[in-house]
Amino acid sequence: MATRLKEVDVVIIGLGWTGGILAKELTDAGMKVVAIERGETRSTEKDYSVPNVRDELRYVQRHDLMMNTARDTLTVRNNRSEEALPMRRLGSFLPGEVVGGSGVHWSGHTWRWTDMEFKVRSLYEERYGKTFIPADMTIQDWGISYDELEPYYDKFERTAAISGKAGNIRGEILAGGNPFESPRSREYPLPPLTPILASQMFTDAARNAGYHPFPRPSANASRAYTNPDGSKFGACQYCGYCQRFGCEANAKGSPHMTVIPIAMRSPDFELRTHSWVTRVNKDSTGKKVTGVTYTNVLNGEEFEQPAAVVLMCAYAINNVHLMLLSGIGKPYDPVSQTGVVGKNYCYQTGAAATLFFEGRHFNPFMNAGGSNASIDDFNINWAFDRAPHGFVGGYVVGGGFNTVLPIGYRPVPAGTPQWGKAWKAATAKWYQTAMQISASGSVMANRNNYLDLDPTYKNAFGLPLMRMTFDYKENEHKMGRHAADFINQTAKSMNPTTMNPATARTDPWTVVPYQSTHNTGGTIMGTNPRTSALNKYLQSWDCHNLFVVGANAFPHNSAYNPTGPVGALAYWTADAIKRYVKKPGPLV
Amino acid sequence: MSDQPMKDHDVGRRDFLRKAVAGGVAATTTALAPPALAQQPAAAAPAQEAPTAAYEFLNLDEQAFVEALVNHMIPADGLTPKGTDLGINVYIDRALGGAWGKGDRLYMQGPWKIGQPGQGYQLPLTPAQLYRAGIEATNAYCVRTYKKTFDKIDATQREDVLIGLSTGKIDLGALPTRTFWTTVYQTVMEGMFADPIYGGNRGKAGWKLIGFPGALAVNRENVEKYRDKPFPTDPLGIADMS
Amino acid sequence: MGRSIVITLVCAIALVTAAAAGQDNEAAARGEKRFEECASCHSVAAGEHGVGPSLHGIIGRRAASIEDFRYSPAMRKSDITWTPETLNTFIADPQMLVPANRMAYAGLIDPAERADLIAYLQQATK
Repeated sequence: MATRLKEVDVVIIGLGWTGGILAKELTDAGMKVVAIERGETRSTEKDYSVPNVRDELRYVQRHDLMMNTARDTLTVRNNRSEEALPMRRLGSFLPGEVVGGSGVHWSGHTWRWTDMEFKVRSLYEERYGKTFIPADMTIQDWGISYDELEPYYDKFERTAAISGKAGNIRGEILAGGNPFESPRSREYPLPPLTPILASQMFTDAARNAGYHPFPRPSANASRAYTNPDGSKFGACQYCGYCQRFGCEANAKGSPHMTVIPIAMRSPDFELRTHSWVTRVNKDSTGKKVTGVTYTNVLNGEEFEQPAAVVLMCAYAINNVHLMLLSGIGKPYDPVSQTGVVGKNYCYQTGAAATLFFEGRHFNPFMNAGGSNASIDDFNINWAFDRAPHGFVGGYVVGGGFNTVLPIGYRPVPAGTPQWGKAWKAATAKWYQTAMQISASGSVMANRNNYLDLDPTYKNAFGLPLMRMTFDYKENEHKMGRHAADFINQTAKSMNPTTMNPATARTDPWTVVPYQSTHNTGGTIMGTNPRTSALNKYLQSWDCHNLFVVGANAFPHNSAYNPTGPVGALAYWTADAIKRYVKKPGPLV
Repeated sequence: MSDQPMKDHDVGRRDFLRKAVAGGVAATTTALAPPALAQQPAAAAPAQEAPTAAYEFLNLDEQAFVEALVNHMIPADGLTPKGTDLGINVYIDRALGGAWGKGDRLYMQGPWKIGQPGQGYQLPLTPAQLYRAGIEATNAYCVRTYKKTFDKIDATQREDVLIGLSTGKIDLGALPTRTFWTTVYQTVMEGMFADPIYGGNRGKAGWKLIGFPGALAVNRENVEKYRDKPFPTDPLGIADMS
Repeated sequence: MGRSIVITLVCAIALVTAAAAGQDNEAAARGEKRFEECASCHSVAAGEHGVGPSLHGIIGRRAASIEDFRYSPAMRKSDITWTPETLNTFIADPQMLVPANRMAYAGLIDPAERADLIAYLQQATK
């Protein structure tokens, strides 16, 4: 029997970027907030400092900051005719599991998603006609606009110390930035990072071919910085251990060194670590939630924490899992295409080439998370005509490095033996001479890609695992081929000694190897309760005192990394909740 | 849930070894604790002076198999010493005997199905159990084919066996060959390139092979200073800064 | 007459001293801004350790001498006493003076900026 605790104003499930932002904003607004986090507290001082953080085996190979699949995982399959089987260890994506969540181990790439995503169906139908969008592609408008979100993007960029170069301030196109971006109210808080050789070479090649390269905006402070909340950042040291590591220099914008310690200073905030929420409870009407039930994983003790408002702030797909386990909202059925929870699960696609230049020294161990030059010409550039290529969406191309460490990164030309003297000689010869050009591509929602509860497999709490049914569709295959062609053409223009060309991902999606921790959808935002789980304020249509914050709210996935809109929507939702508590009820 | 005590156990064990060295029983540690030795700076433990490996997990047949394997895959030449001199066998033994080998973070509930390749690892075996079964099956194949176990066959035959494993052409019966091979290959690479505190990459020879500087990485000025220039490095490991 | 000369001289010296102090204060004020480079890891408050140790009382202190901070072996063996001069050398290129120390900082190259920073540290860490 769960011990019932005293009611609080707000309970937050999961303390990463979204939970941290909401904890800070809502305690600032005078609310009593309890955050419940399954992981443990880790800090820069104790955990991410040199030398122990410099451990590729521990952090990359063994996933030390990530979700423990022995305790909870999902089952996966490509389509409904297959039997889903458990993802027995992490591979394709890596949700975080400590205080700070995936915001500790991210690289920092921070983009502003635009109306190209938020109005995806209207824009494509208007330009290309209704038949251009395949019948099984369930993309829909988000119910929010770029202009509404702009101040919140700005706020998140300042909190997280984004280094970058604006390409469009209030409509004025600026040299050196991304000319395709939507207008921003002001410049990035920090100038771009110092470019590495690989990003310079890609920049030159892209510019020579008539494209528009710019430094990738990222939460790696290009110099020391104090954010508007007073959080202090050191300067990025280009250590080369960014993605999958905590930052030893406090130079990577992360919740554990910004919003969370500020919330922790408030007497109205309490953090409970090692605590696993198993259910969000509903009242007898089913129209409101009453709080959460959680287990202290140190001793198995169960608690009920009542709250006036519940915020799901776990990793995107873990929020969806908790919605399904709690029976909130109608589960999505791909056959009848009814229901909303689990709908429009999306992922990302990509392609990459490795280029070898004898005699050059790329020093691949010197880079920041954002040491990439990028082009957006095939993504939010609406002038790029999709009609001849027949796909919806786009891809970003980048040249550079991000955390390439020797267990995982030892590039050799294709056909090199995998062991022995010849392998060693090739490894020694090419390590310094290689660079990569890679594309990250959007994935459009499809009626057959979805999340639901698995009928067979259970987690450590005896609860059903979530089942992921996903595969890339023809739309993504076409885009992948376009991206691979572009990459290879650009690579050839750079005259490498040799190269391993890019190929499109056209085989079925596989849970190994690592691809991208950008899982989206499942409880999507929208304008209609029949087709979305949340309204534009990420408020549940079913239970108005429940907000589900994260990339779970994205109706489809773009080519961009998701944290920009995830952070902006957290601030946006915080404002909505401040209004909500004055007059509880549906905000739309 | 069950992984946590094992992990603690693993850390506790390393602490014990470190204390054992510090506490003056060093005379016996050459045989007992290669990982602890490898924690010392490179100058104190040159790569050539490899201590005799003492094993915590692998049995005698498996020791012979792994030593032959790593010395075939990483032969001595002008670039690096051979696999056992790099401690890759020690790394593998410790990895299999430790938390990872025992299934740390591995979802181990049935039912067990073969599934599609894209569904990833589906065997009801921990990495240690997989390794053990894989060595046994590979040795059985070698005996069938060459009348000798893997450690006794010649270099050409070993090469054929590894090619057969890596391409999946050798049938290991119930065990999916590629799954075994992927694990073997992963552990050999980890043993060569992981930080020396884990027992492999002795003398940081793996890092020296490619010019990787290791744990020290304050490159804010170096990005420009060494852009397209060779970066002089004498790599440092975690132990060198601990 | 003689007395007024003395008074004038004393006043002049006081003015010069005040001017020098004023320059120090200006340098220290610039240095305080420069300290932003350090502030995410170091505090000047006594006993307040972050990723790096508290800098309170650093001038005249032996390196690695605060008991409740875990220093790198490199720093423990460095045999340095922190003075404006040793700090200047250290901050210019920390790995050069104390190889394999753990500070995640590549150094402050500009000598004038270092002078400002050290002027600030001299005042703020007392």
